[in-house]
Amino acid sequence: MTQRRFPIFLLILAVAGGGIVLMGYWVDLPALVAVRNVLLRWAATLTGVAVLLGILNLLTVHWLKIIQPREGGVYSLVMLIAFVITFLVVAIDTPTGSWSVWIFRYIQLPVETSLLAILAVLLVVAVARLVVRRPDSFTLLFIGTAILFLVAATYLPRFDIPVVRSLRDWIVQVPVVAGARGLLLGIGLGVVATGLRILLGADRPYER
Amino acid sequence: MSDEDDQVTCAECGFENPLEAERCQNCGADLPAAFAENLLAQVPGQEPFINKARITPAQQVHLRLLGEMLAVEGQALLLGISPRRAGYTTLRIGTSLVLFLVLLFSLLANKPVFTHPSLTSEALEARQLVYALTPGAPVLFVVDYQPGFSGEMTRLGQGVLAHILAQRAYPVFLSTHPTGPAQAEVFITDLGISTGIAYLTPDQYLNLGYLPGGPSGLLSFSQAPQQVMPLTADGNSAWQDPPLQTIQSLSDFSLVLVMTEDPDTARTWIEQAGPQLQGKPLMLLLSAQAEPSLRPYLESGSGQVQGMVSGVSGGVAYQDSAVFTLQSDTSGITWSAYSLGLWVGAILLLLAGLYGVFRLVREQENELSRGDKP
Repeated sequence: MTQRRFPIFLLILAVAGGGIVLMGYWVDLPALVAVRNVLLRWAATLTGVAVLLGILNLLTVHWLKIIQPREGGVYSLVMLIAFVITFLVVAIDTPTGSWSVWIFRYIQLPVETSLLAILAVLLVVAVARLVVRRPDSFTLLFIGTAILFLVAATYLPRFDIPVVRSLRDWIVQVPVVAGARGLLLGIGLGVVATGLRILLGADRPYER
Repeated sequence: MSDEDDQVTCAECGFENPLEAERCQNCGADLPAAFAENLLAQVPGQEPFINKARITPAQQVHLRLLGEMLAVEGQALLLGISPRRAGYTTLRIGTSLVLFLVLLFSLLANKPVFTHPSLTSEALEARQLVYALTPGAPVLFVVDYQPGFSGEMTRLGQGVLAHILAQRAYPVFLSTHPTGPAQAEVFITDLGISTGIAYLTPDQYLNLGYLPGGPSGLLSFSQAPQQVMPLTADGNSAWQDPPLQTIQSLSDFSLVLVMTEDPDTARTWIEQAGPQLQGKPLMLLLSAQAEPSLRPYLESGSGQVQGMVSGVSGGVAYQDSAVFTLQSDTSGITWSAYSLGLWVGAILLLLAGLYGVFRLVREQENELSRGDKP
């Protein structure tokens, strides 16, 4: 019986919480706004706790890989050691302390920047593969557009072709903006639909 | 489970048959085969439903595929490189070398070749917003980009931050990314190195650190910044400095500036924090990849976004147009290296395209020649 009642309790909690936060936008009652603000702060705190739980889960997974030796376990060991060192440094030195910033500047920043830099190389190779495997009009259109955007983003004296830049500006300001507006409208409608489904109890992600 | 779930509908006549029936009791048509037992027994929590499910042979094939996919999930896969892909490895190394050497040459040559871009209309509006700042005016500077984008974002934002500091405004840094607090410190330190001016002491800016909670946290902060973020990133009391004592909501900041490479992050700021600004300007510093997605907010005329600077070109143009000068101004050299990299990338794409077409033509010729032989 308790098991059957618990989802109903969750449903009431979710609908009431969502309803209060939503009503706070339309009804200017100080009490309602105060309750909404408290709920929002709880949400922010809970998200922080969720991050901690995620970290704990990650650590557990890697710890299990170490104590049950399997292929790639050494990477888990490196990950755990790196985590412990970083955690201690940031906890003691604060996130903006000189040691914390040193780790960020000389380890995380170069690694992530280098990974992104590889994208330029991969793009060229991917285009070569694309042309070999699917040499059709869409591929040529893609290559043409990519070259147009790369060239039009620079300003080379004597080689500056106004038509190329105008074409690039037109693409950015007309078809791209039209597509972006469509996407934004779609996202907005999707958010409204999802919110309504949760408020009406049709979607119950908290029961999973 | 309801009674309806314990019955199987005939696809031919629509008659409801008992679950155990193999043929329709009304028209005699074959009913879908019973589900193979234990096919998905490893899927937790689904056993009661699986035992009663009736699916077609095609669905069984799909389920077996799903089962196989689940079985290999988590297993380390050894990537074998076929001879065909080995050729691409050479191409990858060659492309990397070309790009690296060209950029290195450009930086070492130390000669600006490419003309600097001019300021766009939206960047001009952004510059006017910064010019309007009075000494001591609090500016919320949101550093919300992934570390991988720091090359572009630093070049983009340095000129704007230098301009804000030149106006003697008071920047307050905040981030919804866990790496944001360190990112902001690196950004400030690098600006200090570029300007060579020692005005970036801790009492001339504030780093609030990481704001958790996504859209909820952001909305909460917009309504009551002092309650949501009472401490700075290094654990001190945040709101004691004179420029910040009067801050009660987001609208008490003179300018809110969001620096991001992610359209979703910018959208969240516009939609959650925007209504709380009550007419105070919101300005975006965007990576070139995010600009097209967010341009509708700028061009809608609703005032949701009142200024925008985007991409390396926007940063260089802004820096050129401002009245201040950076002591170690390397924008000319880096802009030339950046532009040259784009040109080389375009040429490589063109060559890749031509190579693909050439290869295709050659293969077709070979096929034709093989077809001609008896």
